[in-house]
Amino acid sequence: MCSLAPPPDEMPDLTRVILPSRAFFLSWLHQTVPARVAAIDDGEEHYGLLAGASSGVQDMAVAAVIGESIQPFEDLAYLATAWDEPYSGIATYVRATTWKRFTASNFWQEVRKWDDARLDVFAGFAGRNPDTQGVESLIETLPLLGVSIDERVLEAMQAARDATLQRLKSVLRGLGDDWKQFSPYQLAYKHGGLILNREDMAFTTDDAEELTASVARHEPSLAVWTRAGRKQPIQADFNLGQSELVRYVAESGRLVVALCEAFVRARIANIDALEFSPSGKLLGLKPMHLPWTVWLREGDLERSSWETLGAGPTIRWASDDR
Amino acid sequence: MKAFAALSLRNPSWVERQGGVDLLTHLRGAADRAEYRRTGIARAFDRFLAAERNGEPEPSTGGLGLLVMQRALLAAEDLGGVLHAFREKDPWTELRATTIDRIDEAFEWAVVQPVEALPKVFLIADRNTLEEEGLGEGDIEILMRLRERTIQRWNRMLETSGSLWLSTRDVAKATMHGFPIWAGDFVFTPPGAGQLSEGLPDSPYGRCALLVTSTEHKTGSSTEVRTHRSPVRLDQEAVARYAREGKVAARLYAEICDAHAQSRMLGYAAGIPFLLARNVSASDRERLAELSQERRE
Repeated sequence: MCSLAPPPDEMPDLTRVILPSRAFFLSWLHQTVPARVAAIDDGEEHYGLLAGASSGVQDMAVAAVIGESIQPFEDLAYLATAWDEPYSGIATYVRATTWKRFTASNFWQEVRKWDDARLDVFAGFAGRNPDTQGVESLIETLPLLGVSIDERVLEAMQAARDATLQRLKSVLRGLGDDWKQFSPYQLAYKHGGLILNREDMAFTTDDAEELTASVARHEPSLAVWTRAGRKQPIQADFNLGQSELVRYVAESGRLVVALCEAFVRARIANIDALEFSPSGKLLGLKPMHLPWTVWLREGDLERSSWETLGAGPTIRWASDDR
Repeated sequence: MKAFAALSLRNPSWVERQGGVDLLTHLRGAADRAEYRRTGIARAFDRFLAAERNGEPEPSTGGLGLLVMQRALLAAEDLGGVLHAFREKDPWTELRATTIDRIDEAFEWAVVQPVEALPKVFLIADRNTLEEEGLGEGDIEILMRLRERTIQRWNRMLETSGSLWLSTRDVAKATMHGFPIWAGDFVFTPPGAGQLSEGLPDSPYGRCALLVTSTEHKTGSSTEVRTHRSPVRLDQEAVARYAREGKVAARLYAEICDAHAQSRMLGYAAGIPFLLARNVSASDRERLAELSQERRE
């Protein structure tokens, strides 16, 4: 077992910030992520078992897969908004516990326009100063804390940061489109099961004046009633077959769960470095692993950078100097 | 694309006066939706039980318990939506614009004021209606006994569903909006969750979670943030209750929608459902079968 460095002189309040945040992140990793994955898996599996069921049950199963898959989009929106616009003077996680009607919609509409500084915060490469709300880069802050980083590692970290931002821009833009496309179906599933009963309804082209035997009919993969007051009372998908739709949205949902997990892992590292006694007393600092490449896939980064960084650098504290 | 209702109606103007044909198509699809809700709850509960059997970690088992609760609450929300809608003049608009506050009020109204709620929500005929139909006194007595049994059953189901909704809707809502729920293990086991753990006794029931929600309060130019904590039971007994009550809510939702769909399709304003006809005495059952046959003819 390695020796522990003493905790820094200035660190956030243990009771108000560190321990609630630690429990928040651990709950995310060990409770929420598995629950979200199980919900999507279950919805998809259930749909697969309903081949001979009535169209109403099948439609509900499709809506359920959408419902389960779009929920993580809300999760990521709450996490990202909390760290992007934290309350001043209190722990950042508190913002993620504040329900606001348009948090998810605002996030998914706006994230495609986020600049690099905001994406740095999202990725955990930077943080907001709790007083000024300004963005402070981790790479620039570490030397101020007495951490020296090898030049070669620093270059690889910079390359990983650039690759991460590039990947996030592309992925978040695509997911923003998915949110826009699928959230009406999710709302219909969640709020009242407002799934259109296709046994009693028929879809025709716009030029049909009335429903007659000769009018050509079209079958959507799913159709729902929208909330009262919306411009169009019905939202229907004619682009994909039901199975394709289910597969597509479930994959989207799983990707967002993975992003939520990466978001948490990118932040829990500094708390993981704290060692507690069995009674909960803070004992000191362990080496800190920075999961710098947590957002990346193999092809996102050159082999030489992977070889240098692997899962990310580890900071070892020179306890004698402290 | 354009959507048309593809229904043959006996009395279109009656349907229109009762909220329109779109609402009718929706009511006619309720049985399928309720069946899916029930199966979805059962599947989530099976996963929860399997996790317990397999000794999965407490936080992930608790997460599955929250999934059961969420699915149960979706069924309760379906029911609350129709309870609210059928109190109002424009049920189709109301059904598609329901809010949590309106659903709260609707459950309270239906449970506390059954005399007002029953005719509106359940379309159940009273003695006057039966007399106006020209039924004989003996038949009316049989139907009134069936009515009484039906009302007792619906009241029980309403109380069960209302209790589920009112006691757990905040948690279920949280699972749909950012999941601000801490697993009990990380709150009650050292080092704990700091000030979030303070003053909270460990759950006497075992597995649990902690819902944490914050609200903003503007005072002048500053904003005060208040954080609230609510423990959530996720032990097997509690999760089994969520599952059971959610299935009850789904069943009641389907029965109410069916009563309204039948009323619109057949053109009557109120009736006595024969759902419980098998539970009455043999002689009553025999006469009810004859009455049913006469009606059909």
